[in-house]
Amino acid sequence: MILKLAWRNIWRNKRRTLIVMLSIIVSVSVLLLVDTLSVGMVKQMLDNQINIHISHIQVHKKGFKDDKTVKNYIPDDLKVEKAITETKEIKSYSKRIITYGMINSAYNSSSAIIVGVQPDKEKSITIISNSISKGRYLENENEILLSKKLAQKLNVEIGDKVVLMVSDVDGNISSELFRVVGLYESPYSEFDKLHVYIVIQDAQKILKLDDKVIEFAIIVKDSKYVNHVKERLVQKLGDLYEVLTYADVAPFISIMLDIYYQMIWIYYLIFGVAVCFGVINIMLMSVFERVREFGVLKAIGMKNKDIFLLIMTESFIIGVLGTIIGLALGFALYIPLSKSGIDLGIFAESLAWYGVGRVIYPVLTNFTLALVAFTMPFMSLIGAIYPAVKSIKIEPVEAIKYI
Amino acid sequence: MTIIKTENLTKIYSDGKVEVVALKDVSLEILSGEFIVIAGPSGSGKTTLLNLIGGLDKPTKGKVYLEGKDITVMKREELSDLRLRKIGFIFQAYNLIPVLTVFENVELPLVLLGIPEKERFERVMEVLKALGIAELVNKKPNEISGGQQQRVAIARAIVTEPAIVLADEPTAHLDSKTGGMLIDIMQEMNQTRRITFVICSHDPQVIQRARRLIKLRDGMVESDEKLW
Amino acid sequence: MKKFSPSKNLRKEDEIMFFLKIAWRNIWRNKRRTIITITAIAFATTITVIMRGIQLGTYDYLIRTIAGNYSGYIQIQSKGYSEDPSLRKTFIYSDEIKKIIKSTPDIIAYAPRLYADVMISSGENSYGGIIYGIDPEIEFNFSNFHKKIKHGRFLRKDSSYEVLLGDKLFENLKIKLGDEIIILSQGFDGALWDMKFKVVGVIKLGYTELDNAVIFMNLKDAQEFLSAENRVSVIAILISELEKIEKIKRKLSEELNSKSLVALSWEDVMVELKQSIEFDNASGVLFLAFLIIIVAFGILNTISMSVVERFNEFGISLAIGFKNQKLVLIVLLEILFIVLIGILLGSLLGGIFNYYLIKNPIVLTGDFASVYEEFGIEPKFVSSLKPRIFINTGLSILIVSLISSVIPLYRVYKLEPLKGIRFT
Repeated sequence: MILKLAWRNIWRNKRRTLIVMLSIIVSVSVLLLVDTLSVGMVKQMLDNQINIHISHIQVHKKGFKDDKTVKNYIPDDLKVEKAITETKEIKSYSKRIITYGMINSAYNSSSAIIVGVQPDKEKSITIISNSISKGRYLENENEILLSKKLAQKLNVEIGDKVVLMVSDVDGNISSELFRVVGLYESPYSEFDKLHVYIVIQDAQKILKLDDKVIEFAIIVKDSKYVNHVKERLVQKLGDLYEVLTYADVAPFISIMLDIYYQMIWIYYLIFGVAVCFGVINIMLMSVFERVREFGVLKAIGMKNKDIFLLIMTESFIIGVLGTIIGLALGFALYIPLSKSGIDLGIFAESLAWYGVGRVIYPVLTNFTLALVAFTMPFMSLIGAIYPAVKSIKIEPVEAIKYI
Repeated sequence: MTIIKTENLTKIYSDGKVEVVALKDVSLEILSGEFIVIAGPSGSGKTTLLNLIGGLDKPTKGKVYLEGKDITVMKREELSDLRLRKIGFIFQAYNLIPVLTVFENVELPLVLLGIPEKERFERVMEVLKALGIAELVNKKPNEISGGQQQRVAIARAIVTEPAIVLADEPTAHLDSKTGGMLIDIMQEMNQTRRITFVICSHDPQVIQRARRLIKLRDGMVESDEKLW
Repeated sequence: MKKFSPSKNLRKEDEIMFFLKIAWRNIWRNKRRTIITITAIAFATTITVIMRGIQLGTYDYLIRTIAGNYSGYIQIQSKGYSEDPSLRKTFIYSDEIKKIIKSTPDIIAYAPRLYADVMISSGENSYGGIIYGIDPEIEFNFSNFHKKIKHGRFLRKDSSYEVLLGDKLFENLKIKLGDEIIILSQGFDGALWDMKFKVVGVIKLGYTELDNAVIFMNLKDAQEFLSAENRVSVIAILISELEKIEKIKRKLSEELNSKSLVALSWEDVMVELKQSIEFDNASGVLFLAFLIIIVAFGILNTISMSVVERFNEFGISLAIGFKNQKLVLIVLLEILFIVLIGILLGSLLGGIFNYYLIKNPIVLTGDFASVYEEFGIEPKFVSSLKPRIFINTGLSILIVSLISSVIPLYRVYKLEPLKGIRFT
């Protein structure tokens, strides 16, 4: 009954109700878009890191994380391989050798992080093989894949030769000639500046590592299994090994996500308060216009709490209705955007610096949906409190005076 | 001198299907200094006639001349100016601006006319005194009685020394004693200042005091006689 | 009684004063509604002023620390250096160039630097590194590098073949202070050289990419080691006011053109920083724009309500000779009163907050802190009292409020006396 009354009451003054509802609709749809884009950006940053290089899980000899020298190669790679194949949540894995060194061309030199990979396996781990802008991915020995950026700096083209200089497992400087077969470009420019790829056998040769490897990179079937898989591997491999998740390797990104969660509610609050003012205004007006009515209702026996509830319900309906329409509008914009993304080309360089990529796709999480759905109805209730209190303070006798 | 002349004044309201003839072919002349009451049952067209004379509405057919000028073809701005200078209005209720004092309400038209402060003060006080409400100068409308409010309305209407004052049921919301006093004072203004009054009313007290009584019925002039 | 028309000016003034009186009293007819509306505007203003203060304050801070330290506000480079930052594109740091710089007003300091990618080895371990050849005395007054020493000491004028290493690089090399390391590099002449250097200090810039690789040494040593006699990669320049960047940049470019040199601003050199700032700026402005729009709905409602309530009164006013334009003017004045009071209050509150924040910057801890440090900046929230914050905020709110009130104002403009009088 109260619901029916409330519904009819809010439409008594169409314009007033509609204007407040409009403000809610705008708030809700803007918050939805802003939130999903923010989440999208952070997730993209994280996903890019994972898919460009760090993968979900890395396995090394214990101590490699703090001392990244080739001396810390994996003691027993068969053992690791066995542990991996036994864990069914793992989708794919690849062996790598990683070392620091220098890359020299006829024209220039640059520091580099040299990654020795198994081309076929690496393809299923990272997107680098799909990010070739010129030439092709690695296939054979004596080939090298570097980034477009680095190639520019070294002034090399496909087919040119470069020299890699590293410090081998005995501590001696060793160098080798390689031919550039491909140029890649990832969304993360800082990565591109440093990383070059050669086949793992070449790396083993140049570092005098025989058949040893430094790292196992693992992609898990679903990211929610990551910690579970880590524990399994730790169990199976024991103390000699370190098993790191992407959060261990790049804590910075996870922090960004935490920061987002800490900050986003402020935006909701600000919009919420702004809407609240509008709600207080119209509910107050509506209450004072109906002074006589309330007086009569109370005189004929309606209880205070019912009148209070009536006002709260009216406001709540406005909040809910506005939110529903706002969500509809927000989704109408979100859905096409989630497919096509927003091209933020004018910020390309800085986005590449953060590793986000120039096209941002909004991502909807349950957290976002909940916040968006609950904020405005909640604020509508808050805004109705004062007017509702005022409405029950009306004494029947006083009200009749107004007639 | 003729202040108002109407020729075949006709007003028809139509909402698409039904046509209501509020006024039909009303021709009359109003001379300066007259004290006219337009009477008739509700729906007879009194208010419509008053609105047309005052330039608040445009006729469907016919003409209205104010001091020789055809007001039916005037634009909104011109009419507004006319109402400010030449016509005074008194309505049944809500005549006054609630946020202004009695003084300021009466002063308002003089401000719009651009009359300097000192002269405004003199004229307003003079008119308030004449209407016996000088002591209410700083009161707001919600602080004075209905009868006093209507007097202020009269004061405002005459402070610009208009050619004609139009009143629509001025005593409608007043008790008979107050109503009587109000119409008396309007008569006084008419006689001392030679201001033409045209009053619509069905109040017998008002009709009694008419010098010329125009009776309307169904939008037409039923009778038009000088009483004294 | 005489009637005369005085000069138009007097009439206008009087009238406006009267209207101001009416408008002012009108807004207080419904105290609660007016106060709520003013509070809403003040709220939006305060939030905007605070947010913009933090944003602009932070940008200034970032530019000063990052651009100031690394690229300088203006940088002189050889033409083509930005596409090809190699030893090949270094230039001779001649006296003529010094003269040109000295003759340019508003330049506070200028620091010549030589950069090169090298390999650094401790015998056990080798890594890629970047040489930063600097003039220690100049850098004292130029950048804050000397303040970031973690262990050991900064370079001295007479330092010979001494280096400072980035702290991560130092860790990776597994050495102690005082140890010697070998640096291997291709010189300006293309030949490969190596040389021993002594590690006298460890520096933590806070910028991971550099802490992993930077090797500070005396400019003279770098020039000698790299066979780049008297050559530098860039000259970083600090000027007195950020606003003068364009002007000085143009002047230097003109004068240095004949030597195949260009002057670039930090925006050209650190594109990522510039865009990050622009992105954050745009996001902030967009968010606040929507906030203002939402509050504008509230203003629209208030004005609509207050206008519709008075149609009766307006009708009668029109009947007695008030022109529609003048009624519109009164309502407009009412809007202005409400909005301006709100803006003033909000600006005051926001301004006080910003002032407090400037004097007592909030130092961040925990997660926030590590993000800042990742980019080499001190983790603190600063603010700004730049006038344009207040002006832009006030103007935006004013304009949006006026636009949102167009419809009620239009209704007043079009109102006919009888329609108003008969309105229920």
